[in-house]
Amino acid sequence: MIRLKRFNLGMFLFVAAFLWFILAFVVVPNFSIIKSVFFSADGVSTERLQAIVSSQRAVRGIKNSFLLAVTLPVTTTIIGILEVLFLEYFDIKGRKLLKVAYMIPLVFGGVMLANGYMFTYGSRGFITTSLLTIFPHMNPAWFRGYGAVLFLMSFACTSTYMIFFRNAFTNIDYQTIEAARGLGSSDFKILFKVVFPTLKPIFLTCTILLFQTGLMAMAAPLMIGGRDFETISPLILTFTQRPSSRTLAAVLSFFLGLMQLVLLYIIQRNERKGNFLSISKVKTTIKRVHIHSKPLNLLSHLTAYLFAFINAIPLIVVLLFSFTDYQTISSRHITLKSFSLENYQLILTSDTAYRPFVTSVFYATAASIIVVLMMMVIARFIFKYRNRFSTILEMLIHIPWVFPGLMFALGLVMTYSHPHAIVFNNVLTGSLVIMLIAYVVVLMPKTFRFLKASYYGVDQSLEDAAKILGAKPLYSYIKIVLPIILPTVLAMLAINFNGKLSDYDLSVFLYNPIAKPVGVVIRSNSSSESGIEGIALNFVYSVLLMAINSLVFFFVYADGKNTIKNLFNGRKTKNES
Amino acid sequence: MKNIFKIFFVSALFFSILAGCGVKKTGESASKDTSKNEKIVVYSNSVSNGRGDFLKEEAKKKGFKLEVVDLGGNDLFNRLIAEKDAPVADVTFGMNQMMFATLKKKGMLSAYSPKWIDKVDKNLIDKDSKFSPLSEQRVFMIYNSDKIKKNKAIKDWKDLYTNSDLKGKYIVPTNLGGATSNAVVYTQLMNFQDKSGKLDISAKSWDNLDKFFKNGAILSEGQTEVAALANGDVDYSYTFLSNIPVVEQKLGVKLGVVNPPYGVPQTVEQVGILKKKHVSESSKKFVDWLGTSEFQGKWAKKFGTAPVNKDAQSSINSRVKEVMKETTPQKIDYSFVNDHTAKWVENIELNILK
Repeated sequence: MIRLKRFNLGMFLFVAAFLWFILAFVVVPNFSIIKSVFFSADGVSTERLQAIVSSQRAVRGIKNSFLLAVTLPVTTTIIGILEVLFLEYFDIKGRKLLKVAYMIPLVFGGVMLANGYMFTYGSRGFITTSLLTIFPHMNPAWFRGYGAVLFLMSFACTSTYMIFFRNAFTNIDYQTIEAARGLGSSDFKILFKVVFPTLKPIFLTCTILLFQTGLMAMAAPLMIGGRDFETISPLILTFTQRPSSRTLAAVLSFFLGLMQLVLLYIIQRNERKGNFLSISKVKTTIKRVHIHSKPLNLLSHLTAYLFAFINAIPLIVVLLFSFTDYQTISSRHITLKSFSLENYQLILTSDTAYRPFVTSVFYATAASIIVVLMMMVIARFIFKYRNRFSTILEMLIHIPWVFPGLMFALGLVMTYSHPHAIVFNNVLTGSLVIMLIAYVVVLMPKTFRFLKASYYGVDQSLEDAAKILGAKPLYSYIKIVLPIILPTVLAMLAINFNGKLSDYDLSVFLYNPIAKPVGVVIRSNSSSESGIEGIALNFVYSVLLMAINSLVFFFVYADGKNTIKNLFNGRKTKNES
Repeated sequence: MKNIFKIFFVSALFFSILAGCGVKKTGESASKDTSKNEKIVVYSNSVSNGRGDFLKEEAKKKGFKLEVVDLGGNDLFNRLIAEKDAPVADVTFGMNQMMFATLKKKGMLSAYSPKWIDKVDKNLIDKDSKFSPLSEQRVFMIYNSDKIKKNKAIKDWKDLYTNSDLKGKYIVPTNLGGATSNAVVYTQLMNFQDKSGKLDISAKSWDNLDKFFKNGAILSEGQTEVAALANGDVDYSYTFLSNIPVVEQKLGVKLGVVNPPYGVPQTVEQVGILKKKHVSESSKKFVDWLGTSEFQGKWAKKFGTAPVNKDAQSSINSRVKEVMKETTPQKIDYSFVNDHTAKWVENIELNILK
């Protein structure tokens, strides 16, 4: 209770308001949907659990999801770290080009990415057709199943490494590396004994995130996993959509939730064991090393270029097809004649096609800013005050990871379709604000984890020094802490924005008719009921979305980079700019 | 340090400009919504591919202000049910009689007899006037009639999986989310009702359905049921009535239609007014207009529908008329189907699609 002294009123009010937010928009909706599912008019039914356990498909789905969740962090970590090393540690020629290629997964994801891979490696894809000319007897549908899904996702999920890991990597104190080298360590020993241990918090966060991505994977297994490799999320989606099958969805989500909880528990224990400080106090930037062994050098170059190629090809394919008509897209035979600007014209000139973009940009921006600001304060609070209350608070923040977004959206709609005391007797269903709330809620856990990890990068002694010099907590926070975590903050803003720009799962239940988001438009275009033009238009939509995503990254993340530069080069750059 | 704040300021400005645009847009439409409370919110699964814009334009000529919400059949249905206690929509149209029957059961519809109802076959009309029929829809197997002669084409769904030549040469639904794929399933199951069987269907029929799904091909992404057929990937596929003239023209293919001895499922797309505290006069007027022969005729000509309004039937696309002649409606107890579909689909999803 001595701590109370350090509690200021503002923080207290904020935490209280945050608790209300969690209670009203996380706990109550999830609880109410669970209640409606398990304790329906028919009473509690174990028969539903039976249905899942006796269904081969469901059980195999659970196994497959688990398999993907366990292997994905391994493969992605290998690829992600190699990419970062190629950019920041080893001296590789053509670094600028590589950088652009490695950044592609940041803006190109989900359904469109799977589509790109499908059109590249699928049975009519161009890689397959060229392979067929060399090996005429190979199976044209070779790009299917577990291997294909793992391949696609391993590359697609490197985005967290490209941002957070790379960022932390470049912040390493180069003097420790030099010291190790002076003591005669080899390059690889330095990496494993000196560099990687300091990056532990980032590692752990990336692992959780990848485990979760693997577990919840939707687009890739659905589109290229085929029947050989079905995972659980698509099943949950189908079951959630049908009111009578929601119990099944809830049961399945619990399996997922359980796996998540176990992992989170392990990681949290691990974090308590302590972390190494990962930021340098004396500003020595990392120097890229030349690989002296010739064969190794060649191998690194080849791998680096291969990775870039794998990242870039699907994007180029999607870009190409967005300029073709639906006949070409369904036959996949590109000739010079099949190119036209018709699709773009249709979308850019039609008011109904243009409006969803504005809506989505607004919602994604607002949600991303709100959640980052909120989590900056809360993560700081939890980082500073380690007690039972903050542990519970931390667990509450992770709730959205345990329940699938779709189910949460349903809970939100059902709970607040009539006046409810906890939201001061307002009806939220059908309002403009409900979708924003949902976006904020589902973005919370991820944002929280990264910001918390970035607080670990702040050297406590810097703050102590400021305190001794008489700086007020808020002042030292803004002057000392914020500049250090700013790259993460900006990156989170961009990532959250991009993640929610084309959201479908949540939006379809929540959007207000006058503000229809673009994700819903895309999905309704791709259903066969809406006809064949929809597919062609979707290519255009995704190219435009990519353009917006890239713009945001260029703006926000490029500035983040400048900030780091300013930090490290001190006065020199300041005077220049 | 000043730089950091400059950057912060600039990005804040950037975001607020973005946000400003968004707010302005949504704000505008929101204020429109309240200042002219005659605006009608219409939820429909039949307004994609330019149909919504056409509807809005035509409605505007008659003085209706519409906010059209375009959702797939199942999304639409689930959304309406989720919003049960605070409906946003005033009018919904396009779902079939079974879905509307469920809405009615939940007490979500308000009774209204449109002015044109006497122009419609009496058998199609809901006896409580909670919803009213607009147009017929049929679902059937199709083949490329340039490749397969009519007399060589198969005659029944079961020929698909009993004929070993066709293994992997016909499209089966990937999921059972849509009304069309549901129809593909129940048209096969309904011939084998059996009170003692699993979910009131005989074991043999479940077996057959299992074979049907196992031997079929699923669509790859970026493909539609008809495009896969036009491509030559498969020999047989399925589609719905109003889609025929559209895809034939777009894909340049002439489709043959299979009419099994027991016929093809026929559903009727309906329109209904949602129950609210205050049902506006304009909603009723809109429904009165939506089903008129004048509008239904235009709609049919442009989008290949088969209106039930007798005065509008002369405008039915000639190709659609042909297909209607070639197929006969299957005699199905739709209330039985409606009571069982959810369970059937769940069973298929858990135990057959594997």
